[in-house]
Amino acid sequence: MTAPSAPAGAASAAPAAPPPPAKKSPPRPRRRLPGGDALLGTGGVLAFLLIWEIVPRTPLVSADYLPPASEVLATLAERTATAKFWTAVGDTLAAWGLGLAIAVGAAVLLGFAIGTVPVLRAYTASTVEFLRPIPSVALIPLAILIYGTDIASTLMLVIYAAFWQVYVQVLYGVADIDPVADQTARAYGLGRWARIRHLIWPTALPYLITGVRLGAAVALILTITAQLTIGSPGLGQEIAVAQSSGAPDVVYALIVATGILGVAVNTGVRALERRVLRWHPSVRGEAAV
Amino acid sequence: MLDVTGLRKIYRGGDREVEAVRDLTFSLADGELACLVGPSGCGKTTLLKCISGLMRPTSGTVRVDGREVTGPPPGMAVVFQEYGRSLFPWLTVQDNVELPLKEKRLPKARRKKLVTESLEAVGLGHAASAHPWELSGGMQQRVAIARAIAYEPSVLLMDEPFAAVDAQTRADLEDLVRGLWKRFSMTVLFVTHDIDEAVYLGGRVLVLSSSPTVVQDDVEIDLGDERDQLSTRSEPRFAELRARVYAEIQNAKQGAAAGGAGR
Repeated sequence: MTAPSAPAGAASAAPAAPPPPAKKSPPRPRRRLPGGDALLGTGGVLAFLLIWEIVPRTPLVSADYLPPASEVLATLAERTATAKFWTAVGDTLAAWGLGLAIAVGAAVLLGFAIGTVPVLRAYTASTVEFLRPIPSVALIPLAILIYGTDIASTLMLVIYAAFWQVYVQVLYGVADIDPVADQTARAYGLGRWARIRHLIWPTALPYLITGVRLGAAVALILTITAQLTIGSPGLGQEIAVAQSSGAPDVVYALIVATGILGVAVNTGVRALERRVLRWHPSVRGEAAV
Repeated sequence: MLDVTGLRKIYRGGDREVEAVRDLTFSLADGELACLVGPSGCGKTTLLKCISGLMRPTSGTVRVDGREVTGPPPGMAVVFQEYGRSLFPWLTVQDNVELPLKEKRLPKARRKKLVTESLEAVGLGHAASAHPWELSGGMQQRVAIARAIAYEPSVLLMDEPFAAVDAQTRADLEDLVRGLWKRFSMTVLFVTHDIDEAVYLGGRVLVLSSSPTVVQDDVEIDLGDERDQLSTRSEPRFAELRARVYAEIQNAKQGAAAGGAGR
């Protein structure tokens, strides 16, 4: 992800009262203006664009390899006026969304089934630890062998990469049941399904959302990677085409587009998090302001 | 109403055995409010888990209303010490109170009535739609008590419920428990490590020995039914009873030390 997606909200929204001035202490933290972080973030992006604009006009980098920002953004604007661009965006989002949805669904089902049964969990732990670190890109040849350049090969990579992110979080979440809460549920006659629904699911939800956030980012990376290398349709493929036809400004424009997509995805999941986890300490601190 | 007979619990871990409870026998009559005190680490938690059906004893039986406890009994509600962990933060106050009633499959109108009544009974009618974490500790424990009485239990177990609240809140909650006990005519077993609290609240105080636990003493508290934080606690009889329970607990500790040295 790019810089603007950094989690800025959490720190800024809870304004701590400034501590009483102490003698010879380091300068006390300034009380930040509301929305100050957003202003700073925008300033940072503008500064970055400015440097990008200037550097290609100096002898440092040739403009053939790094067209100035204005040129790239103009190309991007041009592209967004074409149907082809939006088809590519749609293909990328479709592969990303479908892959992520399947990965999340499978991770939730397996995570709950295996996580709530200690024997199964112990039985599968070593296998998971072996499979999890395998980089998804190492499966590219295998994916091509099985599915060719079909969207299925992209999906295979995306699902494999995103699944572990979510699955491991769900396992942690399911294991995080408070013993007192569990005893309460049992004492008040909640059966297995009622406990899964009213206790285990809400307990695991913050972990699941974290998993979805990590998984969403990884899924986007893998979607673009698969389109670049396998050549299934989408932004990744467009980048490869632009590169082979010697159009660096288009390459950069499309890269910027994928970056914006990444920021949008992260923002979306964060919004979902705030909505679903209003009760959670990490969110309610923000809500209380 | 509540009969504990020959209860024994041995924890087995590998080749090590720990006898937490040796031989506990006592009965609570219908509508009785009894307090259970004992030195720390005397197996109170083990006993409560066995009574509430969360744990099976090694031997002996627990009967509620004549029926042997093999799992959580339907007519029993429990109030835990750790209210913050016992209430579900993702549910509002009224949803926390209502959840066990849903599991009992009570009709909606009946559930609503019970939730409203019990929240009003603990003085939290106004906080129904708040989340537990928006309330103070004492208020949270009131919610847990409301959840327990909405369940319409014949037996209410309270596991050191006021150990984590401040002294003033504690006095209020003690009076609340006595008020609710009279109003809803439940059998209440109140576990505490606080001798004053046990004598003030109970119609009877059971003193437990150190682990492995037996009932050390069974003290009738003849302070009358109307009790008041100021006048009851300053009665000479209160001081006498308090002294007796205190002495028994000291005995229990020393007995354990002597027994330990002898072995």
